[in-house]
Amino acid sequence: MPLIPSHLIPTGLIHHIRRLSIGLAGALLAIDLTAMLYGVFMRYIAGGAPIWTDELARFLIIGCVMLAMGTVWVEGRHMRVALIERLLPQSLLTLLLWYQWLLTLVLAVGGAWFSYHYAQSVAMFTSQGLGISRSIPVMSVPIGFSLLALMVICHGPRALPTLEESAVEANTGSTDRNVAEDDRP
Amino acid sequence: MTIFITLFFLMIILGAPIVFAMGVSGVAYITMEGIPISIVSQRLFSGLDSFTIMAIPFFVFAGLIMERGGIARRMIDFATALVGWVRGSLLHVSVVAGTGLAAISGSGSADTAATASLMLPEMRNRRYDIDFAAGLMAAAGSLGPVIPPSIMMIVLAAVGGLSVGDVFIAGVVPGLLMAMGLLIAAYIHARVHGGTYSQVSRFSFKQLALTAFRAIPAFLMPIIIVGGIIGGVFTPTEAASVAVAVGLIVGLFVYRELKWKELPTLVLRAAAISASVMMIIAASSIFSWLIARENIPQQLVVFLQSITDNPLIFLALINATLLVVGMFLESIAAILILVPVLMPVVESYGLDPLHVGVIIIINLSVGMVTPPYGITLFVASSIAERPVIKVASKAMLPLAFMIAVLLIATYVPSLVTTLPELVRNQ
Repeated sequence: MPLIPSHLIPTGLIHHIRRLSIGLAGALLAIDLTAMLYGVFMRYIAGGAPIWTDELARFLIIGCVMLAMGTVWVEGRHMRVALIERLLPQSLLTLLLWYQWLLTLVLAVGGAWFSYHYAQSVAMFTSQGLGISRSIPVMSVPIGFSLLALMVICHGPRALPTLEESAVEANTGSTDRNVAEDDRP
Repeated sequence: MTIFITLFFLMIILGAPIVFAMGVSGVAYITMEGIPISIVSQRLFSGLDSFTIMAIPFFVFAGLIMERGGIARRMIDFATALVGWVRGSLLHVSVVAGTGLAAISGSGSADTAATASLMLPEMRNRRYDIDFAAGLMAAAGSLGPVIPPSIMMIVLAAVGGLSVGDVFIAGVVPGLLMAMGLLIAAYIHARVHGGTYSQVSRFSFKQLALTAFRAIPAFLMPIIIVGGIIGGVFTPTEAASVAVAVGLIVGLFVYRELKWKELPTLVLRAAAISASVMMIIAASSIFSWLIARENIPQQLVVFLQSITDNPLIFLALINATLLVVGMFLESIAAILILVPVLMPVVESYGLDPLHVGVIIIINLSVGMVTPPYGITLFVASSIAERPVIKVASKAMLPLAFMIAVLLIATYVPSLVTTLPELVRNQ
């Protein structure tokens, strides 16, 4: 079952960035699951779980979420109210799409910039369990925003699928975006 | 603060994702107040740095494994043996199967998709009213958040400072009452529309025992998750990870319907779905920090107390507000925005936060079946290949029963709170 409807898959660079980001996010989720199960196993079989498993699991989840952020945006999985887009005439809709695109771009670039500086500012602190610099897990935030910014630039001010379309696609495999509105006898 | 709230709602109306609306309005407010902008990055990170919240991706993953691993079909076979002899048999089967799946995946849209895709072809053959059937399955799918384990309940517990185990147990009785309500709605529809629904299978205890035996691995899931959490064996996050492991064993080696080559796709889907939910959690931590900083809950307490000091009227106001909010806002977003504001108000009226928490969940699950943004309604309509508006109009009878249960749960708090108290006192 595809992650995204075939007619919505962007070509070229954005497609590769999407595959890279969601691939890395998926890998982090799989490692996270392994770490959690290892912790449970060690606690009940070996009599005590290592202190680092909980912390590693938390950091991996944050990394997973941040890396997947751009993919989620491209696939239209971010929750939003898309009612106005259905009501506007084409000229105003184009204007609205430009506004949404610029807003996302500013947010992504700003997020990457400020979170990078925040990550640098916590470099001297070390985490309790893993004993690594706090800036290592926090760097997932600027990396995630940077990937989002790249995807936004590549995607351009085009319409995104709505959450309903994503849900229908994910759960049915249907690629007909209008099947729900299609007035069949 | 007015600018902050105005900007937030304006951006939502203009189609910005809720997560961005929270972020941008938060940043605008922080900049205007002269607060260091680094607070945004700090809150984003710390909003996700929670062990309880970490359970969400694993529950999502477990749900996806359940759907692909042949468990839905076993659940439907069991439901057929259990209620297939009642008039309107397939309607009852879809409700019972939906309830069973709700106890496994905790995702309304996934439950709806699994039930509808397996049940609708046979319903068409028997000339059932497909619009009603799809509406009923959308309603049954919306039990996912009410019956534990539930992603929405985990978010509620994390945001509202409640015990995950308590919230899980508190949802059991209302969830089962809602399922019973849907069965009654199905029976009424079948009686009124006569002959079409008279074709039923004969009850066989042998068949019931056989299908129950085949479904044992499916029944293990809620026992492991909920039992493990309540019994203090696992934390919610550990229980969810163990559920994934059990789901993989069942799907790959017991039912053998899940293929190794499908696992990467499931992992990627779990990552994408989880990220969409958890990004909102991250952004809402900025939002809730600002709400707390501005003393909005306290101001709301004063405002509401000036309107009424009667807790029953306050509960009616909550229900009315949430039913409307649930029609337009996605459930988890609604919880993250409203719960930090509502919980201090709830306590000021001397109400039990656990009771009100479950009422919030029920309200928002009703919202999953109502247009214009009912997610289970969209999924059911799509699989049925019927217009959303026609399915929604036929879903009114099931919805009426869901709202009746909501009102009972609202004004008979013991339905919600007794079971958690009993378990706590064990």
